[in-house]
Amino acid sequence: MGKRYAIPTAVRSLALFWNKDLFKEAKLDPEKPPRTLQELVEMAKKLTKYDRQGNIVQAGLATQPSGQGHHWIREVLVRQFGGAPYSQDYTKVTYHEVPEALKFYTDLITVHKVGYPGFMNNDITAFTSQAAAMNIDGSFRIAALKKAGINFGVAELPEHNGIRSNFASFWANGITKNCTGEKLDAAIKFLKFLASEEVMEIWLEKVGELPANPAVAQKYHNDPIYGPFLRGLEYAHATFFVDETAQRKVMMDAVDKVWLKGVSPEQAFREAAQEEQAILDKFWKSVGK
Amino acid sequence: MKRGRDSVAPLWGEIVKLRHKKVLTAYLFLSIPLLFFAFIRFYPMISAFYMSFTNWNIISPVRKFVGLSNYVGIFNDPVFMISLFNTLKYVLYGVPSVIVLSLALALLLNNVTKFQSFYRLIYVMPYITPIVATSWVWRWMYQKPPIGVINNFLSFLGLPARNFLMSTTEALPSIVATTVWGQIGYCVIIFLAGLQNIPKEYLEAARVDGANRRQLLFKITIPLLNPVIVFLSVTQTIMFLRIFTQVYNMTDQGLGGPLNSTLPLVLYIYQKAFKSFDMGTAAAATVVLFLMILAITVLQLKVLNRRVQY
Amino acid sequence: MTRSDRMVKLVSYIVLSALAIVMIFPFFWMVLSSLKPFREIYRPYLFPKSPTLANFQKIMSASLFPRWFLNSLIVALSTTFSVMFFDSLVGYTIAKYSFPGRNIIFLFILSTLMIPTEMLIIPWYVMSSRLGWIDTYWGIMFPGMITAFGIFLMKQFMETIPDDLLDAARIDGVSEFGIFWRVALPLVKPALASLAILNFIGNWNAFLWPLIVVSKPGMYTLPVGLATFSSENLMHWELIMTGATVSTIPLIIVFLIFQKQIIRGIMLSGLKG
Repeated sequence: MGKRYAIPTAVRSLALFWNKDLFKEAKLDPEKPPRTLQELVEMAKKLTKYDRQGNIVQAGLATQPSGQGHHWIREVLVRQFGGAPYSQDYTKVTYHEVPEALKFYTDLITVHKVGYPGFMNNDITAFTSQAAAMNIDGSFRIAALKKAGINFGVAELPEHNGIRSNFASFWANGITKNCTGEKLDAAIKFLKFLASEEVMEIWLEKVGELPANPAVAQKYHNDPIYGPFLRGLEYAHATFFVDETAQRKVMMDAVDKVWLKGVSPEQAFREAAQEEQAILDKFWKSVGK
Repeated sequence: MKRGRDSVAPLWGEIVKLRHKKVLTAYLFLSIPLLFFAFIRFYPMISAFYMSFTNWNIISPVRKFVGLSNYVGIFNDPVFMISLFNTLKYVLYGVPSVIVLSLALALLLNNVTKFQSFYRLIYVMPYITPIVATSWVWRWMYQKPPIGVINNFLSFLGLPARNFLMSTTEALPSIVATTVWGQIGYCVIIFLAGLQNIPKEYLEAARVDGANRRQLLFKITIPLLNPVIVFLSVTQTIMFLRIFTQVYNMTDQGLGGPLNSTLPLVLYIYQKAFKSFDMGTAAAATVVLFLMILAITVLQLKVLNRRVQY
Repeated sequence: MTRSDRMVKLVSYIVLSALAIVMIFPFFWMVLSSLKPFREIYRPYLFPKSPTLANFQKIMSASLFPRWFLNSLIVALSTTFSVMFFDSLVGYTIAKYSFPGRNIIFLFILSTLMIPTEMLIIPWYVMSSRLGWIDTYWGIMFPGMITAFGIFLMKQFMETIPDDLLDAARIDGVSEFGIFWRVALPLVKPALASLAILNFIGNWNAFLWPLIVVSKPGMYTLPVGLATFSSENLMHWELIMTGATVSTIPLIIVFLIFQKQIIRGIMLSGLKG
């Protein structure tokens, strides 16, 4: 009594989805997804198609910061280029020290021209309608993609410089302080139910939410679809967001500044870090830290 | 009926009783509505003013009086200033467009006798349909190739594709176009009513005097339409100052992007209040909006209202 | 008719028709898209090669659309009846009774027109959450139950009723309320109808306040539901277009039936203003 309990019940991470049919069309081996960032760029270029006026009609890699792109930049690219997005306790922004991470992302748009934010309105639409050959998305997309009948494959995120990283987030269910007596027993029972193997299996099958229950997770470790997500969890980081909407916008704006306004990635990242630091500072001040 | 002078007093008493009864009845009838307006319109307005001087964030029970610091804060916030300029841009692009286009259409419509109600129907349809629906339809139409209808049409004409909603310079005008499209019907109908109110004799007399079409239009028709022009100018300006639904539904994540280029004041207020839970700042911004509407309306009425002499 | 008159007429018809096409094209395209199956929605051609009603089926059975429709109907009808009653009652009172403070009260009511709702939504939200009005029909409806605009409109029309009629009824022993209800009201039916229709349409299309006061998807009104539905289904544009079509159809039907009143209502609001 008087304590709060919470356990993660569903976990999600990122992986690289690729469209096997589009790979075949581009004369690429449909069973060999890119393993490094270098391969990612090369293959994306081969997979991109343009119309007569130079507009992209098929994106090699869907680039949508407002989707999972901003997570990819933050927790994966920044680390792969030798830095860390935040201090250990997530109170200080440090990603501006690695502008190469942002530059890699924006080069996809401005230099290699394999995609742009807003293509087909967003990355999910693009990939589901087979107008994008690859997309970095979360495990929660699996069920919808299966329903759309796309011949897709899933791979762990490409590595770079030998560094692998991933972004994970989770749903947690908690018991509040005021829960006591019968209600507490019922709540615990429900939590146990949520964490049980059968529920985890159903969740996995119906939506694609990864199981937090280790026994179930072990079962799918080498599954072609769920495996990469689960393996990605082993080296994943979960960002402590204080205002995900605002922090996502900061990253969206940074990418937009570079590809729409020609601002340098160094400057864009620096300004983004300042904006995000202000958001973090305001929050921590308001909770008395 | 015979009434003597001594029975005037009771008659007078009845009249007074009746008058009292009517006054009481009036107050009775007005009681609920007045309470409604006081409770739903005035009290919240005062509450908003008060809130703008505090630093309340709806979750914490602490509410400190901070004087003018919220106001200082928003005027120092570049995003607020951008939203202010955007809002003015919406007005400056939108209002003249709507008025000129609707007036032109109304004049043309006034000319044709057949099919007038058919055309009227078609022009009014965008006005009565839910803005959310039309916003999503236009958002889809504004896409880049290969799916955007407008861009496909442009490439059919051999013109290059435009970014529309994805461009920091084209997004706001694109949203203005959608809004104007939705408002034309309303304005056309009002202009038509105004045009039909102009006595035909004036136009006939002028024509007999040798006035040509253009003189008729600019020297007689438009001046006589002045009250309607003023009314529409004021109401459309207020509408554009408050624009929200179109922007919320036509931008990525409803954020007023890209890069705040389409962010209007009301969306800024909405984000501050219901996403960041910064009630004090949001309330201050609503006060600014209110004063803006007040000032611009008064200015317009002063400048545009001229008595037309026949 | 002179030759130049005929030329002008011809040009008028051409321009009007061209613009009518621009006005109507988005609807046309919206309806056609809603008839396309998923695999055709991203193809650039206009007409579906294999038109289907499956999208409508899906929206009506597998989503909350019918519920949202019902919510909008309940809210719009309730506010419209309330407006019809209270606005005309107040308009009548101000027009036909003399009592101390009459002008001040009228000005007070009119002045509320200057207060933008955007300024009130935050206090309304605080009020609603304190009083338990969040996620309730009342919470969505209350700001629109009585409108200053309607009062103004009804007052103008009530003023045209001859006082003798009312006095005659008074002498006949009809109660004050009865005079309003049975004598005055029937005489302003056209204005009342226009007010009702315009109010219904405006309420049906309301977005900002319902967006704020409702958090449970089951209580959304149609516009809010459509916005949420669209944001969540960004990969299903055929469903979004279907949702948009479904949101639009009821109003088009209402419009076609009540054309005259709607157009008259719009004109009244413009000319009396």
